Amino acid sequence: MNERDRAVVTVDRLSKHYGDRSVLRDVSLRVHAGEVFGLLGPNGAGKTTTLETIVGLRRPTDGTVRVLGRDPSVDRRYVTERMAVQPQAATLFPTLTVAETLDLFASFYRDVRRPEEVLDELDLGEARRVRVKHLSGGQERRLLIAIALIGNPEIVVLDEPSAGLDPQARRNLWSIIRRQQERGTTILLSTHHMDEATQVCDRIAVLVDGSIAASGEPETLVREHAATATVTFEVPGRTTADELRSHDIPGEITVTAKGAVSLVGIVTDDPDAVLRRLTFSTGLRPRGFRVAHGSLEDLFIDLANRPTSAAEGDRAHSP
Amino acid sequence: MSTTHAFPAQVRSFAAAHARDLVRDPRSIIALVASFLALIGLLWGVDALVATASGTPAGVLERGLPLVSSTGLMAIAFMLTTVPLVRHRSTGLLRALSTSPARRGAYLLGHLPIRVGLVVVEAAVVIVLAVWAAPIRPRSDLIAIAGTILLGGAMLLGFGYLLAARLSNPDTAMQLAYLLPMLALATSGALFPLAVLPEWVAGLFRLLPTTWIVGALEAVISQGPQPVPLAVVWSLMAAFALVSGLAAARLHRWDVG
Repeated sequence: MNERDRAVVTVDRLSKHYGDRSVLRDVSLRVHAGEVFGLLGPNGAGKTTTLETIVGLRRPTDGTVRVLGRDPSVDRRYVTERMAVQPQAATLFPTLTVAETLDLFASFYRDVRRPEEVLDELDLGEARRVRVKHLSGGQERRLLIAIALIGNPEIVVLDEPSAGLDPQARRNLWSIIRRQQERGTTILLSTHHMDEATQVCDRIAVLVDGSIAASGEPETLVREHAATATVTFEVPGRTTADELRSHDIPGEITVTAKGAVSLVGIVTDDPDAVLRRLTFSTGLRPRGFRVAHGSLEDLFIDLANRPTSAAEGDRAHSP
Repeated sequence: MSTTHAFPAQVRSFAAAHARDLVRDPRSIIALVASFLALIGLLWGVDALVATASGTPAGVLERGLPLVSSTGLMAIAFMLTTVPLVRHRSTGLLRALSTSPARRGAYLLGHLPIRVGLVVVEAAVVIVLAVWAAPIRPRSDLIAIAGTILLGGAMLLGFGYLLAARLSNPDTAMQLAYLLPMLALATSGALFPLAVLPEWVAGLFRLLPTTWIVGALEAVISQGPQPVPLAVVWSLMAAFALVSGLAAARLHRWDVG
């Protein structure tokens, strides 16, 4: 079996209830060695509960979780030696400096990366002597990630790693995730930034209302679930949707008058056909074409807004 | 891939972290030292006033040393031990540690050294005061005072760790840190002699560990008879410290939920 096909995290029909409240229902997923797997979902969808169950902080009500073949809530030492976690929020020792904090966590492992190297990679080199209580939110988040990377783990779990980071810091984080993947580390992360999922994840699972609504490679999911594109342009003078339909233009047409022009939007499965028709139609004189293809964000909004029963039906996509 | 570093190395790292944490945010220590010195100052002032009025030494400070000692030990055990541990749990630090290979025992053992250091400093201060109050005190009395304070400190620290093992709300811990010493002082004979209470109540109070400390120190300082042989009291204290410490390590919860 190819190393990349080996499942290092296996979640099988995981359910989690708190009293009568169901937080996770029949969640199943596999994370393969060396891949970056993203868990997406709106707030309250159950991402953090799923991750906390995977890292052994919570026990499933039903179903099983295996990390490298072990139960993470039972084989704590085996799992914590091999899987590092960046929690969504944790206050460290507030009076220790960044370097002292990283040294403390490094002391838990026998084989560690050089703390200076990790701090530089996370752009914390200049803050190494700053006490944790004086760090900004973004710096503290990066320190939590540095802590997760210091022990050369096989698997890294990042719970919303880019929350609170500015755009540049987020891009740096993506580079770090890619470099870590090149080292052979498996990365499981949760996010609600679609661009992050598109940029860094090999596969994703969209969690909605405690269930997996869709999963797979981001491009495939977009193709399957958000295949429509929107063609926009303007036409001098006034026109109507009916007039445009008379040119055999396929799709759902909307027209808005703006000053001396009409703004036209066409939602279609086949933007190329729309462009061909518009190009060869006489009398329209359209200009300022823009084509916006379906994105992960469209998919996300679509899945998040579907009624629960629809999401149930889509669970056939569960990996 | 990493494997867990040796337990002693983890203890050393935690000891350094806990010591820095306490020393660099010295508000708790300053409050503890200030209240300890204020109590000594108050007793010394009353001593001086009574001596001036009556013309003879009153020995108020000397007789108040068990009160001073037990108050200081409880402040170290509850204010400087239980409260910070519970705060670490409530802020998510323990949860973050629980996802690493850090060992629970290493975290707790690393917490001890600076607190034991404070107990030793307190024992030294009390011995200095005891010698100052009665310069011709026999050396065996000083050893008895030191031993009682050190074992009493170990016992109360064990209890402090036990309290912190499950609590998740630092406000509750803080309230306990205020309430428990008051209860302990009221029931230990430090504020008034237990002999004034009905015999069955006094008998009940003598079973309390804080009463062991106060009773043993009172007997040594007043050079009177020990209510229970010192060796027995020390053995009880050592056993209590061991059992509560082990129970605390066993019950210590990383997480809040």
